[in-house]
Amino acid sequence: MKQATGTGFPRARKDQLIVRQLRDEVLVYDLKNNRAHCLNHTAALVWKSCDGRRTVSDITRQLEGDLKATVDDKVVWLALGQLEKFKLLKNGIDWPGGLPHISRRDLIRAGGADAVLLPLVISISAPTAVSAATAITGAVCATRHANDLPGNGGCIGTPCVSPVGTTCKKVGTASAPCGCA
Amino acid sequence: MAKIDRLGWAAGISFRVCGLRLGVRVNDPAVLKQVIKLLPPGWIPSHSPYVEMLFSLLVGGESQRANVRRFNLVYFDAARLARTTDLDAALESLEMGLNFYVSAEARRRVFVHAGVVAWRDQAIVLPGGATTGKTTLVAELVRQGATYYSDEHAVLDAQGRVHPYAKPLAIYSESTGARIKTPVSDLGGTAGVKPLPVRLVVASEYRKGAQWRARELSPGKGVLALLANTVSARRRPEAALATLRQVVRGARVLKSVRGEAKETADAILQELSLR
Repeated sequence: MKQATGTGFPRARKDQLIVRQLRDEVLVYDLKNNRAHCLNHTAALVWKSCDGRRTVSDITRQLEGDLKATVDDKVVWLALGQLEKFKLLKNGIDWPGGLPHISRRDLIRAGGADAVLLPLVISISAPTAVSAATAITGAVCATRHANDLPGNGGCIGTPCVSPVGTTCKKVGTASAPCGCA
Repeated sequence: MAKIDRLGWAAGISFRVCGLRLGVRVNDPAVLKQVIKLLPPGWIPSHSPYVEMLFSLLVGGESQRANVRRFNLVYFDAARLARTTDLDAALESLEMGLNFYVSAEARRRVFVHAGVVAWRDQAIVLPGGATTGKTTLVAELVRQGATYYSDEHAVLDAQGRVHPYAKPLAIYSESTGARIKTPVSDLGGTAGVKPLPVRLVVASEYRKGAQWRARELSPGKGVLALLANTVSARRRPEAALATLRQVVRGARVLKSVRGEAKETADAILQELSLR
């Protein structure tokens, strides 16, 4: 069961966000934590309805109108839970006492909603330039030497070709401080 | 004047690429020819001596004293990027530094870490992180007749078109741990020269024994799949999102794990021919 954390009038966060519509979906880039989110149609509609004046019941009615379908309150609570998790709401939400954890699976099992109509927020952490850079060989990693450049003690932290999953980092020896590990 | 400027530079080159003005200087004119071969694809010489970023390669050369090692040094502005007695490793480090700077700072272009080929004037973009098998898959697609664009970066413009960034393929040799630079002609292929619209984006990762089971992603999820490999995602998210949005407007985005490159290449070309 969730704790009451804020108001009963959810408000969408707008500051430090880049928001772009893409057909039915909405893309959101959060400049505060460098995360990018993709809100599906239902999640986007709920998020847009969070103006700080509407209650969950109001949002549910609004959603029914937008989707032209009957919508359970739990669908909106599910969306609000995801939006809150990804810090896309300005204030916290007052979760009703006794409201259990709601998942997409539970709602589908209960026959409360069509899977396509359920809200979904997908999120990734935007890569740093170094982590999205081309992998280097061990020989190139070994040429990095001093603390002249930032990242892993001058070794920069670039991904290495081999062993798979390693990065060029400080390994501790004075003569060859950088290695793929 | 910084200390590095007093090291006795003997030759250099300034050039433009992707809206950037860059320079490389060397202390040994003989090594400049090797440096020029490493410059990023699409560079054109610049007559202006003013550059926004200067790379420097100090060749150590031979020492007259047997017990003295003279290091080759690579600098990125005034910061040391590499120190090594191996000149080839220094040159590779310089090349990586140049490529990294261009991919992170390019103007009017967004660099996505991806392999790119073209099939009947339609681009296929294969985004993926380091060691996900992009080069292997690109090489196989080229062997099957695709036109080579890049094994490293999808260079995208504001219209969502992909531009060639055709360096020799860097095929990793497990036995030596080195990358073998392989010209596309060695694979029987050719490199593309003109920008193309993207028709297919395939986010896949090699797993031994995996079967190709592609599922189509929504455009929004497709943007996230590309953004996860975009070099300038944090530095210029607005430009990155705008460009990637253009890409997925005209492209299908598929996601799957993949097994061997040949089967995957067949499946990808089949996907493209279905449309």
